[in-house]
Amino acid sequence: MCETEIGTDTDQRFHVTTVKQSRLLVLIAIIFVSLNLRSALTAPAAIFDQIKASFPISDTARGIIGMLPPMSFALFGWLAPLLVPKHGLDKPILLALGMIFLGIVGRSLSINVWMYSLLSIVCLGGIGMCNALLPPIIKQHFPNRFGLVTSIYTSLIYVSAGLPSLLAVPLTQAVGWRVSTGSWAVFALIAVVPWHFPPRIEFMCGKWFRAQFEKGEIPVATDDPDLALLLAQAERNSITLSGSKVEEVLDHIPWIDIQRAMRDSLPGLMASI
Amino acid sequence: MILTLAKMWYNASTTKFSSKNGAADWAIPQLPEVHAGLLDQARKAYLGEFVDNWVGKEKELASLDDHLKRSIEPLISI
Repeated sequence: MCETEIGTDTDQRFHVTTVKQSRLLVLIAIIFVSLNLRSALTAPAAIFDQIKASFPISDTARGIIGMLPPMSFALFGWLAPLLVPKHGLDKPILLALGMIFLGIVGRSLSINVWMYSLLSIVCLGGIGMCNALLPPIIKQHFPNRFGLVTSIYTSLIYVSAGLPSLLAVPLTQAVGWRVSTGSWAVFALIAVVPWHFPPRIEFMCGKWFRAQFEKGEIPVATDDPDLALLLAQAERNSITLSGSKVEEVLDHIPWIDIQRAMRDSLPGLMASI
Repeated sequence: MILTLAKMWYNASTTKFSSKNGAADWAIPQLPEVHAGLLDQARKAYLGEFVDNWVGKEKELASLDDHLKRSIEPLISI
């Protein structure tokens, strides 16, 4: 928790109390997302005969299943960026991780080839979305270490490809193909935990609230689109009067978030006129 | 409120932030004359140089708001 008092070069002066979103947590999240990105492909490949023993898979179906990864990657990798202007990067990646988790777990419970293929598309689609979303996420949180974090992420993709191949056969022999393929969903679940959720304003005070405060009207915690604008101004045009420096307390607010905040607050502004 | 809109317009076109006064300075030369006069009045009232009285000007005010909104929208659309 950090506290700082900020005066901007506009007419605003406000007090910010915020929990800095830890870069370490984001890095852990990136690591676990990366570890998801190939296991859904390579885990079942080595043990296809065991899967075939549970329900029939024709050679044609096997060919189609082989085509699913590139197809899903292409389709969902193209769809994911469309979500970003409206929902930012965090919500789509949470959606993608949810898809990976549900797809992998659901697929391991399949009763026929149709269910297996459909749920494969779900988890592969989630992977396709992560493929497209991770580079901008790295850029957003590690603008100065883009190269280093990108190399961590790319090498972990290969770990995620290699490790399941290596372990698939012994795991299947020990606990069966369903547990063997399904167990990789645990990485998706872990990746969700440290993920950054959109910030909320807990409390704001400023001179323009004085009359309201005196009447005992204390604002409650809320999601306010205007907050991004306020914080972006604080980041770009402010002088710290006391406490920590702005950049120690606040994360960089990218232009895309500022545009979104303007889009979200314009209707309310027009209505209040 | 008009000055807040002017600020948003400045922000959306330049990607920079400005004070209300600064945004008005920037916006006034770009506005049609009738709108410019009104924004200048709003700024003067804000700076305390002028006691604002908007009675009878609701229509012009609404038209200025609308003009600002239309100028901002294409800059922040997806």
